[in-house]
Amino acid sequence: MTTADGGPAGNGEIVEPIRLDTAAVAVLRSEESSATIALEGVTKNYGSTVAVKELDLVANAGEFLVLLGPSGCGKSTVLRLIAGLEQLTGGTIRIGSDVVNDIEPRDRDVAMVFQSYALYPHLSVRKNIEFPLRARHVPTPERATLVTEAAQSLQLESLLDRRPGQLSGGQRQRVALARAIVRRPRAFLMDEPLSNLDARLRVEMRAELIDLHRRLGTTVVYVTHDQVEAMTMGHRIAIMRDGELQQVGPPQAVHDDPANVFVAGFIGSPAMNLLGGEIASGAGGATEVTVSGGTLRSATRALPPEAPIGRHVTLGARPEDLVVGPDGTVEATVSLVEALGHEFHVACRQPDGRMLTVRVAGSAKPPAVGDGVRLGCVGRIYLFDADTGVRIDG
Amino acid sequence: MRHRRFSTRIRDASTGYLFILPALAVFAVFVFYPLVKTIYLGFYQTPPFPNLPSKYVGLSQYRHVLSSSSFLDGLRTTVQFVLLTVPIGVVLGLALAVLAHKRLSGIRIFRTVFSSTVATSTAVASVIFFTLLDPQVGLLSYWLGQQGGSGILQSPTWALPAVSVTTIWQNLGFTFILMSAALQSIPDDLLEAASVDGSRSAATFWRVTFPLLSPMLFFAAVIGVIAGFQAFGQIDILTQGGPEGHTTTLVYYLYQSAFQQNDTGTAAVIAVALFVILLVLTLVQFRFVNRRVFYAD
Repeated sequence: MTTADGGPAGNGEIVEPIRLDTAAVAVLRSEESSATIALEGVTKNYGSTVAVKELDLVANAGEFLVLLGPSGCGKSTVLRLIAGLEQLTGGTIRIGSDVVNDIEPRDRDVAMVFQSYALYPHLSVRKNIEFPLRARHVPTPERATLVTEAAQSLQLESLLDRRPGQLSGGQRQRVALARAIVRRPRAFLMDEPLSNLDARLRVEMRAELIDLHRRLGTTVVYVTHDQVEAMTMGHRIAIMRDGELQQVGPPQAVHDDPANVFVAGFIGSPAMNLLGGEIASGAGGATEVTVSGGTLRSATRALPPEAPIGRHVTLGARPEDLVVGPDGTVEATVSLVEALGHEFHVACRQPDGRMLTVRVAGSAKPPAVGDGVRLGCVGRIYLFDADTGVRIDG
Repeated sequence: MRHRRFSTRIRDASTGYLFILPALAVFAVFVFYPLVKTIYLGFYQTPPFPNLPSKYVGLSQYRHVLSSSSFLDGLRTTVQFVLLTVPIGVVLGLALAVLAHKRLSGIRIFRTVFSSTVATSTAVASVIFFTLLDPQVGLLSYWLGQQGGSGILQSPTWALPAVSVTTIWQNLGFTFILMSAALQSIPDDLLEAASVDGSRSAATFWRVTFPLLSPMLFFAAVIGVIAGFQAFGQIDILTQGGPEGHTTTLVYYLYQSAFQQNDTGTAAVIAVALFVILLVLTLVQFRFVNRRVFYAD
């Protein structure tokens, strides 16, 4: 039984916990091995298609920066531009103090981990890890030491003479990482490195990557479309859409203070409820917004002067901030109850047909499908401009 | 239980045989029977005059033909022909495929041109080169300063190389297509990984691309050797085995024996010898070269 990429199937595979060898990793760490990556006005066009538009973004030295966004948002293109695999249409990329716009990939001193792992199939694990050192004409004795250290730090010693085709998905992933760390580059570029792993292995590798980064201290730019990876791994998250940067910030800050409707809907699981409404009153930090099933009343950040009563807005409310109860002010009908064990996701239909998701604790008794319920808000609500989607409260 | 399993196996096997039966029948009539018949014919000496009975001579005809200078000359010529056509043909095909693999505007035109000889028959290719090499009007003869001379195809030194060039040219389209397909099957990721890993493009070619092309290079070489041993059309059209037998390969010698001298016995022995030589060569190639070839898992 094999998976699509030829490795043994995840469910039959014995997942051994990977313990990073602290001593071995410490050897790999060095102070100058970490560089700031700065993008200024970076633009990339393919013909008339704009893949990346006027991007300004900095990954600080030693930082774990995650580029997050849906497929086709340009995040992988940004990574490939940093690596030098694509030519810039406009702007500047700096790695450390060097402008690298016209520098070949091989001279940029960054290592890349590909989604496919891109292991050389005809070479053994040892030769794969050795490849960047050979390419740089590192003398043989030093090469052997470095390969051993990298292999040790990723628990690959017993696999050194195998070929990639004989490895499981998780093992291939570790070989790809070993090949990246072996020459101590100034930065790692990772393009959805965990997306080919099964769910359990992905959670493990996530922890290993965080650990590896903490020990090596090298700058990481990490591309993913998985918000859980982004939230758990990144020092900061940069959210992209259609080639444009939407917001950059620490995971919690982005979650708590989304800059626009797109970020609000993209971060958080289950996703934030977004409804059309009208501001009814905004006095004393308690805002009332009229939606189709009634008036939702809750705390918001201070409303700006240009958000007067009667203004059409998009209202955002996280499922965990909504409650079902007699004190609720919005009428809805339960149309679906998903039991997840520790909690229920209750989908409620408003009179205009729009759906609202409410998170109910697993210990509570959820309403039944078809019940008429009243919804209230115990947390914050977010207000966005109905046309531009830009956040207007706070 | 055991009994049922056994009968199931028999049923499965008979279904299998049923499926291969049509192919087996065709092979039996057109391959196996002629093969056995040819070996059999090799035991009978063809009479000097028609309508006399063939004489059973057993293995002595095999011994006689295989040790004759005609056969050994033919074998040497064939080997020379293969050595001239296969390595150059494969290297040229690979070089053109590498050139045409670049992403340039208008590269499709070059790809079409490079692969066009695949649509050319041996006869057409031979006539083209026959004209080009003509001592009176041939452009190649003119360029080579052989105009008005005795002719390249009439030169004992240059006749075989000329036939080889024709063969290389005609096979180039096919080799180019094989190599292009192999190049395209190499994931871009690997080459990009190599460039980020610090490898220069020449090093990447030798250390990543070339090993991954090796199965196709091997395939092209095996096919080329077999085709070289079986070449006939270009020799018949360009030189008829001449001058003075310098382009008489084993197949052409076989043809002369069978159809010009009506010596079926000798022809049968040459045919059997060709079969054995190709079988052994192919086995050797698979046994020794195959070990150095990387196949994707």
